[in-house]
Amino acid sequence: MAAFIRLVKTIGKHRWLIIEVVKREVKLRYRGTWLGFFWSLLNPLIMTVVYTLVFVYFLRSNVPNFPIFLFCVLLPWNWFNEAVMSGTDCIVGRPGFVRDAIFPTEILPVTTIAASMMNYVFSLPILMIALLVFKVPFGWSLLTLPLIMALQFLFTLGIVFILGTFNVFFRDVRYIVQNILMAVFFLTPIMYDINSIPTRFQFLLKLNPMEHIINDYRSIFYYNTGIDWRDTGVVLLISLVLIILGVWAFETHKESFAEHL
Amino acid sequence: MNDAVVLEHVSKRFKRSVVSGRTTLKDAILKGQIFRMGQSNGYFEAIKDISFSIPKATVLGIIGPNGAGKSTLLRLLAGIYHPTSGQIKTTGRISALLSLGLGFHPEFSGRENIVISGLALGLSHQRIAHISEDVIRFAELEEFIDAPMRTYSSGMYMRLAFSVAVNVNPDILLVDEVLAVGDASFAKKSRARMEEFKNSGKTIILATHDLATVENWCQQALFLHGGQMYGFGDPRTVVAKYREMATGQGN
Repeated sequence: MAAFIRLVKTIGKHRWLIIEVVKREVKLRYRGTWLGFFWSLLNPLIMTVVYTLVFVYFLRSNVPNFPIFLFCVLLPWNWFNEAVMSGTDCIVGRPGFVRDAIFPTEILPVTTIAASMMNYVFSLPILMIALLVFKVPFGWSLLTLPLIMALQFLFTLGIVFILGTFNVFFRDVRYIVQNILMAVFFLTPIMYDINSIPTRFQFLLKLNPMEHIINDYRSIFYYNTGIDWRDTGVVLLISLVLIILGVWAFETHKESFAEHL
Repeated sequence: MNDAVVLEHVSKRFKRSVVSGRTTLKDAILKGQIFRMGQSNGYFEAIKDISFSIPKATVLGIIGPNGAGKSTLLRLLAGIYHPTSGQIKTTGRISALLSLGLGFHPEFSGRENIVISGLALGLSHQRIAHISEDVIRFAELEEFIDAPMRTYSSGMYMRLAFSVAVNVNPDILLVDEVLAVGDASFAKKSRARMEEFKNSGKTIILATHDLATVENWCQQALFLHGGQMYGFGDPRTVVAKYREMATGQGN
């Protein structure tokens, strides 16, 4: 807990540095490309088109407005996926910063997740246009979007602190993570509705915090209903526990990071 | 407390496995080490029980043969490594010019790295904007400052590192001589800047093989050998001791 409070203080003290690093990371991602940010939009767009073809036209799924049903949760999933993947490498990928005694290493998980989040933020206008084109109604529940994004940020942060630390000592971690993420993608109700699967499996899928986060995004953009506050609260608690565990793991091993890079 | 740097019984051990290859997850599980990350049976002691202190505004030269632990000691002083046992106390802002710990991200441009280094040091945006022109001019990198640093030659990299290190107004400057090279004109310039530093009452700690520099320029010397302190104090006496040992081994 004390470590957690120290982390919050460090983040506050280094907010300008965090903003600067995030800006640079975002800029770096598209340096030398013609289409820039649109490359990161291309992947969810193609996936939406292909899955719509498969589910609606081949498998005759009867989910109304399937492209929106999928696209509105594919975007936050991509943010999660990218943040966890690059977060796993956030320490080993930046030896220059880690070996600099002055640079506060504990901000790296934060900047990595924030840089991936910016992609999501940039894609929101496209999502809003899609909602208008498909005539999907949206309303006041949009105001809870920042809340859900903050929740996803915290959940990812806990995971990244843990994985980033482990990855310094065991480089196998990134390959394990890569495969787990792929499995979790199919086991999270992203391409399908949780109510369309057998009841006995629904319970299992609900153990996954991402299920609830995805569900909240879908409530906001697709169902236009309020979010599930009880489930959201539980995910928040899980996230805080993960962050405390992650920060503890990070803090106890931080001093030997430089020797292992 | 007028001491810039105080070391009390400082030792640094490294895990053997770090030196001889990384532990994999498989090894860790097979050896039941998974919950003991960073522990191992084999150790290499790079610094053994070193204690000394130097007052502010001192120039200290660290000498010793290759592998004596000079760079490890500098990294400990810089805070890049942490002592296995013992304590290090430093007073004031430290700027380190070591082969490790330059704090640059190779994908970012020189200018971006200057801003990030400055912010990490706690400088304001205004202050950074103020010094960055000096940094760039001193490093003679006007032409390449907006290119990613991975495209820099090692000389350009080193010049920028030196320029940042001396322009952020540190109280203690750590220099690993291996880095303080460059072409003749830059070497002359950096010498002059170090002289300025010395005269303005800054603390400088320098690891070097150039014994004449230590005798003529440093006020204190530290002789390291096999991680142990073989001599500390007056540069002439300490250098003489090192020379004696080196020739003794030669015979």
